[in-house]
Amino acid sequence: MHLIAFAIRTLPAEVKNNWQRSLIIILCLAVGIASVAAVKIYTDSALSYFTGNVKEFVGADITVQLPGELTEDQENFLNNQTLGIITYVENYNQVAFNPFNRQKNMPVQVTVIDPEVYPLYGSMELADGSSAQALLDEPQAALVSASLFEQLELKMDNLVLVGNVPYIVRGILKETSVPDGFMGRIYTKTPPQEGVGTLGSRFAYIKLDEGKDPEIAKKEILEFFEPGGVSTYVEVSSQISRSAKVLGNVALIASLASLLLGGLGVSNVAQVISRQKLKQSALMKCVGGRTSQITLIIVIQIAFIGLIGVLCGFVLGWALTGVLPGLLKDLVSYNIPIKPNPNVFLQVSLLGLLVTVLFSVLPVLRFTKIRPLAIYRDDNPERLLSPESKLTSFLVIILLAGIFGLFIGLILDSLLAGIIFTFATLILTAIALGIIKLIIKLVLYLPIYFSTPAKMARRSLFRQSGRTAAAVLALSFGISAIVLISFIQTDVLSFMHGLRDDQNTPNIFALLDQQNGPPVESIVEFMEQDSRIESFSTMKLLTSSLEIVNDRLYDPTTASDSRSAILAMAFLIAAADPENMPTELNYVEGEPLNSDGQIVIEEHVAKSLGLKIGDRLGLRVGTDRIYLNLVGFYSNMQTGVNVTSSSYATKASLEGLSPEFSTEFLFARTKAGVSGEEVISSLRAAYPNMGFAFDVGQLINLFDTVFSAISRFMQFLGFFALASGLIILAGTMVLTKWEKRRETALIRCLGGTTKDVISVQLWENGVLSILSAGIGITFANILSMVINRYVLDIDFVFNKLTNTMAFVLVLLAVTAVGAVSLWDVLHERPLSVLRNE
Amino acid sequence: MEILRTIELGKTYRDGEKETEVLRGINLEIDEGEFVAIAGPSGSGKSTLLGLLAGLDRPTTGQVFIGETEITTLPESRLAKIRGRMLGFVFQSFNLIPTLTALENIELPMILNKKPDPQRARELLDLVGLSHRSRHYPSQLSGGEQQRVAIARALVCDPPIILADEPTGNLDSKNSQTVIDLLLSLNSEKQKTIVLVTHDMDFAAKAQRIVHINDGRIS
Repeated sequence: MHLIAFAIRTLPAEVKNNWQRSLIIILCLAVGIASVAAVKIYTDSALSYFTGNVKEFVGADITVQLPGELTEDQENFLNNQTLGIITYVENYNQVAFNPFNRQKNMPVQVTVIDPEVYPLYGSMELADGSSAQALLDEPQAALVSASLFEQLELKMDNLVLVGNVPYIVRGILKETSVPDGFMGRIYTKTPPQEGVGTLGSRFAYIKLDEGKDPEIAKKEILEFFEPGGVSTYVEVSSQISRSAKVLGNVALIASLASLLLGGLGVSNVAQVISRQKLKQSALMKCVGGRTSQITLIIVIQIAFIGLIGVLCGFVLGWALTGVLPGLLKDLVSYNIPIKPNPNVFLQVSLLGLLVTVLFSVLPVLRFTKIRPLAIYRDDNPERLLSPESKLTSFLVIILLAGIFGLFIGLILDSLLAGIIFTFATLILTAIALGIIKLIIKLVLYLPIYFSTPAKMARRSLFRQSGRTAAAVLALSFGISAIVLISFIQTDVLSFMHGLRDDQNTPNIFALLDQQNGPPVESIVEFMEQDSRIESFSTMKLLTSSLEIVNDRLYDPTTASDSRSAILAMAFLIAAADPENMPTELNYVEGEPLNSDGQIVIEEHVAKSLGLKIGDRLGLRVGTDRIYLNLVGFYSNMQTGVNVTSSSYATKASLEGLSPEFSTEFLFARTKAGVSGEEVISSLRAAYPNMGFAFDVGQLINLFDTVFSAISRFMQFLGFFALASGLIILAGTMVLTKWEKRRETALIRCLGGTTKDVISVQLWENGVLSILSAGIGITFANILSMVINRYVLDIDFVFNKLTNTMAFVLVLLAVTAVGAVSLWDVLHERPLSVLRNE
Repeated sequence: MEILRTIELGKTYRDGEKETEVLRGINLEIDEGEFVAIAGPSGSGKSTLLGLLAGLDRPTTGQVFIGETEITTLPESRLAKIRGRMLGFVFQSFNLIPTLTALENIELPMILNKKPDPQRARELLDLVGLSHRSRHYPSQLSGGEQQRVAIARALVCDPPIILADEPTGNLDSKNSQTVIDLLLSLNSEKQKTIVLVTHDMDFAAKAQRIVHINDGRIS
């Protein structure tokens, strides 16, 4: 305790005397902690917001999904229940139209409520000028979602048609989630016309009387209703907690990268501090101090300086949470109040403290193992360092990393995950550092250093290679993270845009409602007459299960993995006309489909089921079984267009099979320049009850929005890693500034000019930035190539612009850091520098 | 009674193939409360001998005893304890820690030896006549003042032996005299055993006994 108190008491003088080193520690930790704190504060605030308002989100204490028709018992129960207030909510899936322009339409979910009771908790979030009261006063009043209001170009107090039923727009609901882009919402108390559209779902919402336990109430309800349809707000809350926790943990792990990189910076400074305290350490040993005591004093002081960094980082992170809603607005449109709680502060502080200790103990321990005799050695006291004990170092690392891992595990709710993450990160970091040191040395051996400045820069880089490696690692990691996300985003989107623009690929997909919708023939007739359509086809899709292969029973449980088992049990067969396939199949083996009794299967599906060309397959469809010969494999992934089925057979082959297992699809391709959405609007205008249809372009836009939000967030975290790299680099320059100062003075004394000094610095910065950018960008390209090829199965396109921009960004950043560091050195008189020496 | 004793002490430094024998066959006995000066020309091995006596370095041959304990084979942790309990050091270049105040420099050995006593540190600062400089950092003190702080630091754990290595080497004559007087008074009034390494024969002459070292041998 006395040692700790002594270390703390003498800390201010230590910080004052070595403010630059202290500043580097503070910055290294502040950047890393800011990244972690921003994520942690935001995710915790979001979690507490969602769980704290769960009753408002759910709308009740208990929700009961009601069957199409209630039994007498169920009806009696609901009518006579004594649990609390009950209200019914019905959702209808329909299409809404602008009555003045039926081409302006959109699928909607019409929610029929009792406005006198609904909502049971909270209030409906409405835009300015809206009137919830109107729902009570007027039977046809409606509140509509903002997306519907915009897409149909509606006006307040105007009509909106749902099927043929008119509603009056009396208010606009605030958008709270992204998928609204596909489906609008309407709240009203009058149900839309029956038989038009489908009744999606019916619920009973219950607000329990004071003091009633939701679990006990649920048990009572379960006597009359199926368990899957009854849920309490407590269950919803725990589901939200679990999901938010998983997402938060992923983001936290990503944000930890900058903190751990910052740790490398702390390690550099710790090494310099303890190296410069060699004689002090020797003196302390002369007066009875032991290695462990001296290590403890230095580490405590570094940790306390680190705590300042943690505080700064926390405040910075808190401030940055103001940026996150903007970055994530396309994913989370709720207005989440940001409230950093003391628990988050405690967790983040401990995390920062552990990182500081983890990364500073070994370098400090190395230099406090000085023999006390060093007190007599003014020249090179490092010769009196005791040899490093590998076992001690190993045990210290295991102990500290173990503690750190356990702590991370506590935050992640999985001790094992924390331990694995910590050790994997440390091992990977050590390997990466080793490789980078090797690359630096290899680059320094290249025969390119001919001029004197180049030779001087080479020598300087050699001397600092250990510390520089950490900066290069952090810089390359940061730029790699930023660039990689950008590559993947660009490649995936360009692949999807390619699909959208490919005239051979359908861009309209519609599921035709065969029970309530128009006959398929009417739709076919419409498509034939519409001049905007390039091509179209309808297709019957059957759900079957693979039962027999070559007269032997196929057992799905013996499949290589669960995916194969599911594929075998829910095997989709499309009924197609070989002369007019809905999409062009890219055959990779065997023959194309050309006659009845044949089947062609997507290559990956076939391989995972272990099928080969020539196999005779027995497939069950309801109570029927058909036999088909496997004649060809096509590759889904190469063309990417077959999003419909895992196999094709002729229409005749599938004739007469159990109809309840088949669904009718429409695929169409519009002519160049015509959007799918435009045609879908016309189709809906003509057949409001046709079923669900979507435009590929719309889907891509939604995907683009969501992907961009995720990318922005990941790049935001990547910038922290980049900042850590720059701080470590700046730190390395500051820590070795005395060398640069002496070198500059010597160059000048020997007749060198400012230009020569700048040339040396440019060489150093050039080599460092090329190395950092080169390693980072190469790594990102390779990883992107691997992900594209083996995970996404799309082509990798070398992105010249992004690569160049990333390269220039690193070059400029490193040069700027170098220029700032060199500025005062350039303005010092050589004689005063040498005199001070 | 002997408090320090060496038997056939020798030290040889190796630098690659080259071997330099710095000390050989040193047999030395220093009694409790004795003031011994080790004198000799520069490079004669005086400081090496002091380092071996303090257990700062391991001898190549021979043994060193502090009291009854043979220290040449002790592990570093035991040596640290013995140094903390038995020895006080005064160096030519003071070796005060620049980021600690005068008082904190004096307190340091007590903290490392787990016996913190700020009052004692103040008393010692008073003893060396620097109580008014307790909050000053070494850079704010003169050479003589720094050395007096160093002496107070050497005394703070009340060790029976003070090893002073050229304590006047960086001081002017007035301050040198003050320091030597202080050491003498510690010897006479507090019965401390003083081993003073010096090449100044005037100061050496003030000791009870002078051990001359020449070319690594006692002459």
